[in-house]
Amino acid sequence: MTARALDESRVSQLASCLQDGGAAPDGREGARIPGSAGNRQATAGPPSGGRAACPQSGPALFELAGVSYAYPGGGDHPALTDVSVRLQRGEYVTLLGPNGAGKSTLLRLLAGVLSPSTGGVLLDGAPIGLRSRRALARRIAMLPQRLQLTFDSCVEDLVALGRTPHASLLAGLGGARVRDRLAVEAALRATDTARFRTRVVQELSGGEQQRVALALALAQESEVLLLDEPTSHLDPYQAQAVLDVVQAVRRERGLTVVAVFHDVNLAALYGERLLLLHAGRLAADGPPAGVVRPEVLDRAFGPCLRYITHPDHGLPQTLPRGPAEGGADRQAGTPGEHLPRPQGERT
Amino acid sequence: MAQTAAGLEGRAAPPASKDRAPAKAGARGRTSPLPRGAGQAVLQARRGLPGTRRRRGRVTGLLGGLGLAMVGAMLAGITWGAVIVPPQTVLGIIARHAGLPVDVAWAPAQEAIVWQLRLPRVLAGALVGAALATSGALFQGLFRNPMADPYVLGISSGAAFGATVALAGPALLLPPGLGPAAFWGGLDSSRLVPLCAFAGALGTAVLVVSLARRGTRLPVTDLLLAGLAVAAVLGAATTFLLVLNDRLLLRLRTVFAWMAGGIAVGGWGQLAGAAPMILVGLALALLLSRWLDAFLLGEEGAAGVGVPVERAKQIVVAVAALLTGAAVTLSGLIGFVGLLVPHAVRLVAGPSHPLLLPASALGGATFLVLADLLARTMLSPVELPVGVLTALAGGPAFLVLLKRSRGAR
Repeated sequence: MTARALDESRVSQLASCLQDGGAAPDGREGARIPGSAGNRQATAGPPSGGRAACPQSGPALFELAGVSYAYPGGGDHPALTDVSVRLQRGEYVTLLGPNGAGKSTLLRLLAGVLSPSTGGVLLDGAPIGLRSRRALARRIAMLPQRLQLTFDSCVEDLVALGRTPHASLLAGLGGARVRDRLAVEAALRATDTARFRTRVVQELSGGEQQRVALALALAQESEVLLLDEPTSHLDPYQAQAVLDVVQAVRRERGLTVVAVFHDVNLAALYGERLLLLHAGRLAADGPPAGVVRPEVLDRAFGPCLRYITHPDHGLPQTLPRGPAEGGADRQAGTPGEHLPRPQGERT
Repeated sequence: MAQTAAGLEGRAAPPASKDRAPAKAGARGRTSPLPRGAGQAVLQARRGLPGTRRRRGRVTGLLGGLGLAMVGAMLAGITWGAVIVPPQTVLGIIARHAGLPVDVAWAPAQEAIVWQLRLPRVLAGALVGAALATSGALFQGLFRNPMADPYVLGISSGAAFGATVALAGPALLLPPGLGPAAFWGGLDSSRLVPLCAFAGALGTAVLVVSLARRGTRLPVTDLLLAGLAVAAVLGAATTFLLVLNDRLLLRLRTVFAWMAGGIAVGGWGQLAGAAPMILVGLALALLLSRWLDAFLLGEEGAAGVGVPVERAKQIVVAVAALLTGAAVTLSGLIGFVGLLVPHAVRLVAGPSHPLLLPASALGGATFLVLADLLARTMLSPVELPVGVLTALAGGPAFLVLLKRSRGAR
């Protein structure tokens, strides 16, 4: 299914939401930029994002309230500063930002692997730190950047590790239960990894390994899937193959996806809601059309991008600016600087 | 992607977006916990999915084979020695002691050799081999490091230091001329050395863990480095005591033999202390197998699939240290078993701990019982330190296995 088709379904959803949300229909073209009053009215309601954009009666799936995090020894340089955001059930949220902006830190906080230095991360309204690791793993699965294995293990065995949070401590000794085996089979099939189920994972290609890692996360049968730059080592074909599997499973199961992306274009094509992080702060929050635009992205990345529209999906895309003829543009491309830009540069 | 849904029962409500086929979604959500079309898959799963039947066969085959090998090795270990006792006699003696009505068709001397000397020794060998191999597998799994072995936290240095102090300590404090026994209230060194070695081993483990701990976290790299440093200090201290040998009336030979490793169990009494600890440790290790499997994914990966990583690390270290400490009391320092047996098993059986741990225990037991048999009989009446043999025999055997498994790919 194309992103446009998704968009259409989103519009109809939004239409029903907007009655309570109060934002104009074209609100989904804007991004909420914290701290800049001029942009605030762009989306006043809940951030757009599929069916879950409707404010639900219960608490948000995730709620971050004034979250800051500094790594031990990080001292004066917190990885995240005062981030507040609500993520709804069923959303596809992508985290964008330059290296070191705090994207992966935010993801780890959502996974409950890190706990915030100040502020709170709530899952269904309750602090995430109060839940056991096992209870969390039943609800939240995380796909790492790449698998790092020391000992040879075969695909099947590795994917079966996704069942760990569902099995009792002794279960490994008596052979897998039917329920677990079904989940593993389904995950293998969904990711098209059943073909090499008995191969050693380390001998597979990077793309295949990443699909195996995805199968492991799917076997957890969680309702939330966190992706940490899932495609950064993959060629364009494999990258999209992995993301398409996520997309398909999401539609089948109503999965909530939060993904860190390095690639602005993939983020815009796959994500419904983009969060832009810059120097540990939330710099923008909105749909692709609201965030992937020069006045928003350039604040974080510097003026190093050209903006175009995807010919098939109508979504905003970026190109690298490329070598500057005079060299002037290039020198000006220091991230974080707010340089005056000629109007109409967007093609 | 319709097949995606098979077996993947979404916990969240099916999304109600309009471009989906509503009938499909509705049927899935309401009628059954499993999606439509899953019936076939359930049947398939009950029958055994591709590979599972083969695998179960392999598991039983491997564990059964290793179990038989262990029993065979133990029988051989009891049969051979300075005096050969035929296997049927051995079985008869054991059966009689187990309370079975068996006619006595052997000499009392044979019964004494089998029951008082060789059976405890063979059992000790099996327990030590199982403990060391399991402990090695635990540490390798925890550290995700193929070089890890039971002594990785400096446990061996601690044990050696303990044993040396047991022999040298009194001489440090007492006027020359009095042996260790006088100081320890008549406790003879065959009891004293294991006791002090055990204390040294566990004390070192506790020390290393507390040195490496940062708040509630126990970083694995710090654990390894602290282990190295503590081992170096204790090793130097031990050498220091040994160098002062002349003044300390220290029996250098005894200490050296202990360090080279030898199963000096000559009766049931010595087994009584260590055996329960080892058996409990082995059972606990099995309970940890799921967690250890998850550690294959790294600490963050393990946390991601629901393992309480910090608690798990502490428990694994505790169990592995207990196994190693208990083994040390029976046998001194025996190298290679704990390093190589888990690797050998992994090459055959894969890295899955529910199979790796019991197979390592059985394999380690078999290996050490055979090595001890060789150590006793090869140069009889001289007894070689079994630690020398395990390295001499185990090293090349492992290299062959390694070469073969790499070649097969």
